[in-house]
Amino acid sequence: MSGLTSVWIFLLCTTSVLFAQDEKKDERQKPEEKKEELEEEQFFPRIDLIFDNPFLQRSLNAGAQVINNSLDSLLEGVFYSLLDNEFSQNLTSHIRLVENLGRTVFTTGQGKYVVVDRLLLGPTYRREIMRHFNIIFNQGMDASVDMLNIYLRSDPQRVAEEVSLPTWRYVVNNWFGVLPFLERVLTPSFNANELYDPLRQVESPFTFPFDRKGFAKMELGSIRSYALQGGLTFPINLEQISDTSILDNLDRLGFEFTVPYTLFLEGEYRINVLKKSKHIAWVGLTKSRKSGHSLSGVIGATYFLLENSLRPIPWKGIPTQLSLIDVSLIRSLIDRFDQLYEFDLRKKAGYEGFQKALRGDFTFVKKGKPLKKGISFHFTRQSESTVKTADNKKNFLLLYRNKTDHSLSKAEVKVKDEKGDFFVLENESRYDQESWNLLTGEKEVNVSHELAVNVEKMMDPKSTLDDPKYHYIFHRSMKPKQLVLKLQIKDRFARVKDFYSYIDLLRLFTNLPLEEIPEIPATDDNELSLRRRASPFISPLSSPQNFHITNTIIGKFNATAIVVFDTPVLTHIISRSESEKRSAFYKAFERDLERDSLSFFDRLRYYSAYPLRLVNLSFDSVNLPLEVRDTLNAFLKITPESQPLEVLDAFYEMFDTEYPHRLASAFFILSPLKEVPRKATLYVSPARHLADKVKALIGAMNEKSFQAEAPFPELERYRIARNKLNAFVPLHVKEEQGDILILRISPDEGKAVKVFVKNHLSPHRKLFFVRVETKGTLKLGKSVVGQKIVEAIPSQVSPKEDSLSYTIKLEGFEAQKLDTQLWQLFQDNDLKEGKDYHLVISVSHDARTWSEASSLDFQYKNGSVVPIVPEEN
Amino acid sequence: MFTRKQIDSQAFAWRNQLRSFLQTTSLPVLALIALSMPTLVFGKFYFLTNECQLPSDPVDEKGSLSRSFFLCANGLANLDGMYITNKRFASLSRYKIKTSFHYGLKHTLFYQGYMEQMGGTGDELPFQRESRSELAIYQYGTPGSDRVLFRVGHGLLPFGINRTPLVGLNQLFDPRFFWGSPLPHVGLTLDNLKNLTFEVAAGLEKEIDGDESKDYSFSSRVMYDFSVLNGTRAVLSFLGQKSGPRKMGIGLLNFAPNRSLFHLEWARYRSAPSGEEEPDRRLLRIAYQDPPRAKAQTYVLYDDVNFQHRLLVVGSKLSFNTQFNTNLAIAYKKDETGMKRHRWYFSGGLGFQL
Repeated sequence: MSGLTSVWIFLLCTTSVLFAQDEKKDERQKPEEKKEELEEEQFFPRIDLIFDNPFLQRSLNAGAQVINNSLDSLLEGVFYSLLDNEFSQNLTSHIRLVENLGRTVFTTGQGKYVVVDRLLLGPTYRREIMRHFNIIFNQGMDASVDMLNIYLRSDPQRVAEEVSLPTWRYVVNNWFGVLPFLERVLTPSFNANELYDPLRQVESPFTFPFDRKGFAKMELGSIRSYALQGGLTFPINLEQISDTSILDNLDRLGFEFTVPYTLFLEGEYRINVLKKSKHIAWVGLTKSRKSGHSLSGVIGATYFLLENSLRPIPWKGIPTQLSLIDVSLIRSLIDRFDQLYEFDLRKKAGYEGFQKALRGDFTFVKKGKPLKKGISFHFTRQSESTVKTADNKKNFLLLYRNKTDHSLSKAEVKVKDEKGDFFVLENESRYDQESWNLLTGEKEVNVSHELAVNVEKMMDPKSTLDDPKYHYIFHRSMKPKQLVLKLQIKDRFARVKDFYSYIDLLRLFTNLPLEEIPEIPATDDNELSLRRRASPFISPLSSPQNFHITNTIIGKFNATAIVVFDTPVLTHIISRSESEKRSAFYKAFERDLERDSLSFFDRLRYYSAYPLRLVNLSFDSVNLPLEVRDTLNAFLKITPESQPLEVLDAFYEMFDTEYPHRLASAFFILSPLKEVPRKATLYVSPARHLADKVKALIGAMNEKSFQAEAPFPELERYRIARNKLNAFVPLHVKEEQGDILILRISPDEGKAVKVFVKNHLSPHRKLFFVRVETKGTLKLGKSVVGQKIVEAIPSQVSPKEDSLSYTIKLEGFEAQKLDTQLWQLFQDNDLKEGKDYHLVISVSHDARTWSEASSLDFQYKNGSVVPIVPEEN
Repeated sequence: MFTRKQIDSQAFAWRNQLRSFLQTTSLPVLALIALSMPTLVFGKFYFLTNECQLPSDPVDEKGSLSRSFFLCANGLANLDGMYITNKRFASLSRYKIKTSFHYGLKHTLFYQGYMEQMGGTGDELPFQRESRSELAIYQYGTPGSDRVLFRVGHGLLPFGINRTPLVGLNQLFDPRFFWGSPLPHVGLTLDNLKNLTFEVAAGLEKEIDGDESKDYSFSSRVMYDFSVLNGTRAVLSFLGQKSGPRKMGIGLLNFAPNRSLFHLEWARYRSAPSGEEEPDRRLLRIAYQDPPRAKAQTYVLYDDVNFQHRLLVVGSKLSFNTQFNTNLAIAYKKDETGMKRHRWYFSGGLGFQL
């Protein structure tokens, strides 16, 4: 095939996606809507944002392809990246056929994981057009098919597959025994689900449920998604303008340096299928067109540790990234259309409609006619938004990484639901700060805001029907304005001082006193006292062994907070006087109101520190004087008389800040606090090595919620539609667990426990996943005594509690199919007298759907199981 | 076996050794006793041995402790024998004393010294005797409670972790070259009492015969404790001489919750620009040691100098009670320079600890 023909086919492919037009639609109303709560909304990315668009990324990093921005951690670098691969085949000198495979795993917090497998396939075209004054002009075109397979995984499921899968598949799924071995010897942060079942990745294209059989094979709650994507990019490389000696020096050090400015236009046509229940499917269609421009700057390199050490096996080594500067700024206009239908596959029309919808054919919808039985319409949503994003990353050789992402958008949205059309002006921002290091893992603080302004679209009286012009007015029957602020904190290893800084942030963000937070000693007082007593006698020659007693690690800390400023509160805030607003903002930003104007010194500090942002360094004391001025000026533009678009623009400008939590604080000062619904929830998991007293203090805070008196408002039509879209967000991938639930675990005679399972109706014979781990002295590693799947029948029925109790023996742990002989030599599969253990149990009817895991810490003492109960304070 | 003559000769050597040890250590010990005398009259006196500790937390009872006197004394005696492949034997007797005298919580005098005598068969193991004062220093300030400490006296400059789990004869394998020799110096320690310690010191090098120019050494050491891995410390140090040689060391120490110790260290010596005859040297050390209170305390040490001289020692110290112990070890040493020699060493001995 000649190069020209390839380009031509390519163009056709691309343009067909870009210019796909909406079809005429006729939607049926669905009579009932389930009430959902605003506070349940979560922070996870939309399905189309899970993976970066590889074509746009290539343009952003044009000339620096060696830098692999997807490396997140050491485990990612060493192991997980095995399932992130790109294969390419040169078709002509400028066209390549690219196949991209990737896997992302999300933690659900209930011991389960959502696995997202992705396969992307398509040609890509890149060519240098011209050079002018050392500026290189390029052009690029891409088209691809993108397929996602999203499903739940849990440890019991994996172990149970030992029995259900053919041996060859089980062996391949476990990487010929390497995976179980790694799981035993590596730190607990190693997640075998990242690597388990590599074949499933390439199966993605063949698992789309085009018929009933295919649909039946889908796990409940899982999602299949495919998209046609295409794009045009015009990267202009600016780095050659700079001094050649700089370029030579960077080159000598092995660094890539690139500064591309890119114009882009891309489109996507995506169909998502969600298995809601055994016979019910949701099919969502998303069409989007995105155009814009970006500027990025990268100085960095990827090094390979143990490079070519496994010759002749073609293994490059462990990729480690060193990026000194990695920034990108993107401005884009996005035109997006979403629609959602429900199909009941038991009904003929439902099944036919489902099959058509999967092929992108929605002609079963006839305008003015009701939908056939078995098909339900949920909503359509059309939005035009302006988005700007700024990313800044720093990565130091898999030891340390930090990242700041800021995105801000404003959109005009048209939604059609069962009650008809309505319009919303929407403004959103998201400010994410993430850091990671080899010792403590991930730490994340995300703040987001959403402003929804319900409006009516009115035709300008002066315009004509031939040339209609519109303007918006606040909706007369729906709530005109609602502002929702959300905060999420995730820290895998929080110290006491981190914990209190998070609590302070939650207090600032929610204005809740959080009075029941206990006082946790920053260091272990006993240890500290012992050190003070012994240190004077330690010889100066031995001072390296005289350790400090450091800040106590409390364990895993997660928190979420949500605040809603509803219409009456926002109206109240906006109607406050200018001096009150000024005073509130200065107080929230901890600035002196007397020093209202910016001094020369303030400006000098701000602009001299600005270049440091390139390496992701930013200082509050330097930023706050200008931030308070800018956000306040934007806010002062809103008056009680402001029109909807003016309000939207002012909020868009105001939330273009690194300090959204301080804006929340300013709003609290201006608002009638009693009317503002607020809630903060803590999720704390104490570290195992903690003293029992401290453990009990921390454990008592787990799942603790703090809520203001004001109730959260009911969801508006706009939010109901949004929440339905969230069904395609990975976190919402849920198993239909029925009512199977472990109520409690208690000791039984000998090496056994009694497991009380709630559920009378389902079959009494059940499968149990049992895992026993050693507990206690091990700090970095874990040691699994054994794990097994056992089938059991109830030993006792308790109608009063509506429960069945099963006796599960904690012995007879046999080596798994793939345990190596070497491992078995060291493996002790039996409980030892006087030792502490950690037991994990999960229950299932069918080995596919498992309950949430329950656990018990116990000591094996005098031949029986004795639970370890943390001492109460 | 041994002839009568050999036994007499050995007994004579031990008598001489003991006399020499008493001569070396008597002065500082007498000085400490003399210093302790006024305490009988003016304040409370504590005599402590083994793992010395203040009777109470200085934060709680600062008043009474600041008027007290403390004498902490530790003594060690080892008798060891070693068999080396190719039918050679070696023996060692070693006595070590570690004392400190404290007036209140601020003023401390440390003394640490040893005396050893080694003999063996073959040219490689000549008879040698050594007595050495490792430390004789005054310290102002209380470690663990004060942010600033000051030292003046005789001892090693702060550099590296300089810790070996080896006992008895195997201690002779320690590449002392990397840690330097004791010398008169002044030092300052800054401690944030949370996780960071910074030490700096400057000392006067011994004059080399025929060289009248004075040489100075200076060193600095930073130690950072990771709270996330409670009981883990990173040590970064630097030592330089006016005449040019430089040393740099990076190390990691980790105490597990059961007090077993893991030690990783890398040190580098760069000779002076003019001294081309001395090549750069690098040391890589990996060591593990069981908790000190374990009845059988196993240790493993791997030292690699310039990736050419390798040493692996696996040993165990068995304690009968808090005073008496015995040690057994097996060592493998390989020299990959022109000599291409490798040896196995089997050692055992008895120890006494005050």
